[in-house]
Amino acid sequence: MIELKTVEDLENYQRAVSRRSKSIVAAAGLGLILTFLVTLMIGNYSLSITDILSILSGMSGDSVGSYIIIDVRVPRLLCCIAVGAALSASGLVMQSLFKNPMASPSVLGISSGAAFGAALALAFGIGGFMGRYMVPGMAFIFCFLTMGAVYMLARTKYGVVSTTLLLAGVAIGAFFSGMLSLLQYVVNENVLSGIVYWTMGSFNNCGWQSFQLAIIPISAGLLIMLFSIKELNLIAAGEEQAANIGVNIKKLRILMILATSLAVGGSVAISGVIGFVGLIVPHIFRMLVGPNHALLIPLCVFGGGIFMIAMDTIAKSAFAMALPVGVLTSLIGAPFFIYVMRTRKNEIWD
Amino acid sequence: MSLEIKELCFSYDRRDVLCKIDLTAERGEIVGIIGQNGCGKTTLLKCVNSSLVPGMGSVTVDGCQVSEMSRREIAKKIAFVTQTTNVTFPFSVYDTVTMGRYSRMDDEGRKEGDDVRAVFQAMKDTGILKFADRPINELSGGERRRVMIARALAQEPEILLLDEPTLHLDINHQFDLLEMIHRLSKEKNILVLIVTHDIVLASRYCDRIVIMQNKKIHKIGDTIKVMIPENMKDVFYIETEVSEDSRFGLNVLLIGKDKDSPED
Repeated sequence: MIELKTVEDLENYQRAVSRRSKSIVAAAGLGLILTFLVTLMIGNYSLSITDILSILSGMSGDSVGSYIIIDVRVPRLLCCIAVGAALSASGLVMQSLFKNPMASPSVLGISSGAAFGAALALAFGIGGFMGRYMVPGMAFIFCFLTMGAVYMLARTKYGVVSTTLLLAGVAIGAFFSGMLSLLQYVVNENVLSGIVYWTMGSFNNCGWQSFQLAIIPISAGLLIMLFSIKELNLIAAGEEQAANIGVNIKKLRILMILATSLAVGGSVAISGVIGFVGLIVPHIFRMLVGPNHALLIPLCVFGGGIFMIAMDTIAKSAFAMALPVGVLTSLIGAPFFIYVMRTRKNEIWD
Repeated sequence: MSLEIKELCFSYDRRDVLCKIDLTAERGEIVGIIGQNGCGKTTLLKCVNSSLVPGMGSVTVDGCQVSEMSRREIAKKIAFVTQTTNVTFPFSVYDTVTMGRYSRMDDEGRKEGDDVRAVFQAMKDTGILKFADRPINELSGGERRRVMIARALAQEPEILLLDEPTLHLDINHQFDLLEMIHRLSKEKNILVLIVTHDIVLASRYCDRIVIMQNKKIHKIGDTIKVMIPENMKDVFYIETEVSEDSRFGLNVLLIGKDKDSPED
């Protein structure tokens, strides 16, 4: 409990809150850098931190080491960070937009839609007009269409009803999974392995080229979210109330659907469908720091990156054989989903 | 005229809810809107701030049509405290009240510290300064209602719309709340429109009363002229006694329902 008597007291309180927020975000950023450096060491070819620092500064004569760090591990980790940030922030935005704790790109079938779009591009070259951006472009378009469809289906005169939203997501997700299976059935073996890679979710093929493909749509999506922090807070407090306070709800919804489609489309295009990241990360941070998006968005970006790096590192090195990371996040995510469903539902969402 | 409603009609699908409503009101007065369930009271408030678009007629504020204003422009003039105080996320009280400043974010001639000053004033006026850092979901219903009113005041509106502000409050908090609204309306020269079921409170605190019945304004006028036993019997089928208390003002005593009244 604090005692506020004058405007200055309130200003001081506000400054203290914003100082605290800044240090939390800075700590998360630092955590991400440390995680990045530490995980650079992990892999079949063993390197110490001094080796890595000398390679990064260009002073090392170890050509194999340089190749492994600069051309394999660094781009893969950067992809992990981009995808983790994109999926986490998108999950957060969707939970606020739909006011539903279960909303996330994978649960609402949006990742499946994006994967189907990517598979169409891979199998038949559909969307070839986009050139080298064909696969992420198709993933983005299908993301946008799927999210729009789910949202339209869930909308009623009285707003978006949670149960309808989840059902619409499940139905649309199942439809695109079915279409994807059909596609797998008809294509030849070379294409098939590419599509299977997409559906499992993995960073195994992620190099500099993947990073270059994904970073533009993902950054654009995240920037839109960062510029909408105030509106996100307001819409999270209630759609009707947000409109009364001056938010153009329709415009915000379209903007957010666009932003999440860009971010999720960019992610799915390079790593395939990695489920539950968008569910787990926002929940953890919301439990820790409360619902203010000014804190949650940067935390989801940094924390999502850390989480994704950790998952990928565990998936590739903790078991006898390297697992696709999507398998691991699903194995962890499904119990977490049940935990959220059982415990958090009645506390803050209603 | 601060607020002018002209020949306003509204219907949901094809069911008419409001029919030819005319109402004008000035800043600084409190207008109570009463009437039976489903007579269109809340719909009228929603038409005033353009949450609902009327089929016919117009709403103007200071001569400007609200239908032609953006959400943000409307929010600078009109604040709306809805019935629900449900909150999905546990925002702090300070964060919640600060949200009211959204429409003023890029006002011309805006100065550093304007927002904090307005938020401070709104919190002080509603007596919630001591809750600043508390999550809103930990507050009681009455405290939460005051937070919502503080957020509305942070908008620095000319018109404040209140939909059932005393709902779910115990009797002493009902009086406290209306006492506060009365004081704020006069001090800040705000026009307050209150939709309420509480006849006792409405007759005590409102300058004018609108009685609605069958989609229309049945009676409108100074409280003392409208809150008379005949009108109460006409609209609610309730026997009342009205007296003037030297300490508190107009006093409406609800006695009971007329046995011969039509079933509805």
